[in-house]
Amino acid sequence: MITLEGVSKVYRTRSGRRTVLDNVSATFEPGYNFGVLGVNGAGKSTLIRLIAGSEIPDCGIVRRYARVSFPLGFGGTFHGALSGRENVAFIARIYGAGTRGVLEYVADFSELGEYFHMPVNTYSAGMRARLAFAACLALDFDLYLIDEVTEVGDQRFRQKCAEAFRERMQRSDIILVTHNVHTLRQYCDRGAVLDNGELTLFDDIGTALSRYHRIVQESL
Amino acid sequence: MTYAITSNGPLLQLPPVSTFDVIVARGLVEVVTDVVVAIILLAGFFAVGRGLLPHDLPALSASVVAVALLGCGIGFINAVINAFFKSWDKIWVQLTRALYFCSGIFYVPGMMPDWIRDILAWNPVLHAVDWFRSSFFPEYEPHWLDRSYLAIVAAVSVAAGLCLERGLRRHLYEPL
Repeated sequence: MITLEGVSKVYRTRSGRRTVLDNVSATFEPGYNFGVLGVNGAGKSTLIRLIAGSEIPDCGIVRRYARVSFPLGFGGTFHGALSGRENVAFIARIYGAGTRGVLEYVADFSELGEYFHMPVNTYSAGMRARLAFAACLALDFDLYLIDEVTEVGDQRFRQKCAEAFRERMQRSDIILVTHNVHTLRQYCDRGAVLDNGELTLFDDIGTALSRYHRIVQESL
Repeated sequence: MTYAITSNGPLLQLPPVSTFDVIVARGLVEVVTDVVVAIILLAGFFAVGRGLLPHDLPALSASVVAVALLGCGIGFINAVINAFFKSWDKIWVQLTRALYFCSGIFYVPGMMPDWIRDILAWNPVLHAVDWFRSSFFPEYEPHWLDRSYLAIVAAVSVAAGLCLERGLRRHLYEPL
């Protein structure tokens, strides 16, 4: 379970202050998979990073009653100068997992071959995402945070990820950010809509989607 | 240490890794590197028959610890400043270039006129160098050496660095 208590986050940009979350309180209950919806720049990624703990809120408290994954997104959590293998070994160590098992799993799942031993700098975006997916799956998290990287790799690898996640979802939950309605309906049973600093949770992904579509219409 | 935050952006996306961790890690690497280099250099001098052992090992260790703390404190401050002003490292290099000539590395402060030495004595690094030097040569007893001054400046810099990092932590890593 994840609870947000009076969480606010403001960014200072050149054009002034932008409020991403404005005194948000919400509870993400265990046993449900949430899809996060919001227009571009609404702060979905920030919400994911706040839940993960990669970022600290300006005020308020985020409580995590679960092992929460690092955010799986395009930003990347890898050091470019280190090889994929070294990066994964580092992640395994800081999460207290057995290094050897994790490395074997990732080498096998990511299908990077020789690239696994090359600096992450030399990877394509797709290879990076494959490494991130594999590293995330290799560690046992109760809650996976996935930020817009579901459409990664070729058809076959996508299939493989989907299968691995479906299997994992029997004991773990996910919070997913995506613009793909099909993916959202496939994985999520509940929804969260982020709009103008306000976060609204819905018990049903369909209701969340229609609310989101209304927001998009209004902004046109 | 200046680059600890800016060069570890991706690792900071991992929730268990904090800015404090990456700065301390970088500081440790720097200190260990410098100590190893110093040992290799001293061993090199022995190899060519010009070796010299310190006569006062505790003083040697204390001076190294003090200057390491001073360096880490200032490194902490620089790491935080550099996260906000990307050109700070260049400015800092220029600012501290003069330290090479003000720290008594190429000369002994005793050779200086009193009034110049009184000014140079404000430089904490000069005290570290002379403390280190005096641990090698028993006959070298600089009366201007003020160990507590060095210790106080080091402690203040560490405290200031820690406070800066704690106070500005939430602004240190913006989204990639």
